[in-house]
Amino acid sequence: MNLSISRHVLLTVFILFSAGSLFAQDDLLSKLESVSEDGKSEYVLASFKGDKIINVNTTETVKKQNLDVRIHHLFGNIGKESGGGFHNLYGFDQSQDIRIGFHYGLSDRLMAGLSRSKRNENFEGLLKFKLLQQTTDKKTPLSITLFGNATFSAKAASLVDKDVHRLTYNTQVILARKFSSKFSLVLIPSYLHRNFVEAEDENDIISIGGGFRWKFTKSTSIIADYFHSFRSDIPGREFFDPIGLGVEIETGGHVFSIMFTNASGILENDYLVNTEDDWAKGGIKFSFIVSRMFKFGKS
Amino acid sequence: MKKLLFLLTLIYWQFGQAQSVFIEKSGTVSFYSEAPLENIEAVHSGVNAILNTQTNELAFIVTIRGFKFEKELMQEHFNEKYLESDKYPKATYKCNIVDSIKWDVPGTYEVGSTGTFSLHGVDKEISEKGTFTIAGNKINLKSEFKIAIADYNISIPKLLFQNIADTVLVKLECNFEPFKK
Repeated sequence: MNLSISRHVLLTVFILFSAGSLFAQDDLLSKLESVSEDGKSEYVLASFKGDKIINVNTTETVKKQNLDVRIHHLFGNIGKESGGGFHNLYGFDQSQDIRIGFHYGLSDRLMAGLSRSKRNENFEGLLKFKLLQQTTDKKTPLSITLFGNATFSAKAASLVDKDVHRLTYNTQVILARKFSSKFSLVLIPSYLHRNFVEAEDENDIISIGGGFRWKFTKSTSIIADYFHSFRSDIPGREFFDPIGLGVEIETGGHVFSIMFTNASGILENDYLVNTEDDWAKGGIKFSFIVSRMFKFGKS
Repeated sequence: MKKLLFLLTLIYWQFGQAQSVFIEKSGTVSFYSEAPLENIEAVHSGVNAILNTQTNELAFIVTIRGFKFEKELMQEHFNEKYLESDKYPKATYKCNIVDSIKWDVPGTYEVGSTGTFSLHGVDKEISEKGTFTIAGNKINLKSEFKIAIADYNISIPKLLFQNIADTVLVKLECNFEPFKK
């Protein structure tokens, strides 16, 4: 064996091994970082603080085995021109709509709900399914939740020709993105079908909605939403787009929202097609939700 | 023959190096906080830890999102409001073991450590105690210590929310095994 060649071989082997031991002497924390796999892709938390912003749906659902009992109150119009004013304390004496809802998490992604609303005496059954969830890395840039409901109006038989006329259906694809810890945006294409409508009205209505939550302090957010339905006015009725504006205050255990909207009711099946109050004429209503979460079983 | 011996020594030495690094990827850490309204408990079972028995160095990484609470809402508040896990996704502790341990002698060693604990974007020099139990190639570590949440810039609106105590009791357990590349 040639001496110089074997020296080279030895030297190479030595350098290679030294490189290996250098790795061992590297910063322990960064080494651990390189071998740990978790924490790289997580679902984004709390894009929104609840089921709805004001009028529009969010991508959020109730977690598995949790029951959200929701009491949603929509008062009367504030402005005098729209039936409010001092005599009824700016709509406080009236209740335009009241909804009591029970939303239950069948899984962390699928929620089922039942509710009753005062307006049109509607019973509602709903499903909300998280199809896609935004992640903290760039893998999934947005969340998609599917929403579907059916409402059944319990109106007196003398007011309804056939029982099928009591039914309406709403389907929505809810797209949301939490851009930062402070700002979340939602965009919602919606399709509403009503089995029975007035003459010259349309059974099928397509709408597009949007909303945002802007957290400007650690526990206070500005919330707003909007819906536009692609339809025209019908004789004797002028329609407006429902707009909601509000402030959301988190207190650790609870979220309080002070909300104002011109929407005619709480259910999509109602406000998408019946909103006739104009913000410009004081057709704004105060609204709030009391929500209480109950947890069943252990996770 | 000499060369071969030298080479073998090198290889053996390299082996020795590799054996001095031990790793744990599923350690558990839990914390418990007693408060007037509600006791709070969370468990994490994916703690990453690394131990170098040659340098007596030890490091931990705990992903904040990995803590599981009994109530999901509590878990959400913990991540979103208090620990801000989107901004500070990890807690780390990098330390030196200050007491000597005979890593090749089975037994139980109660030792101290000093190092940098990083939580919620705050680095703090701390000293904590732990107990190593060595049985062959397996090294077990148990430790219990307290964290004062105010030290780490974690603010809790007291007036509105009295759910969390000022200090939390943290329990840790890791089972290290030789690190294979």
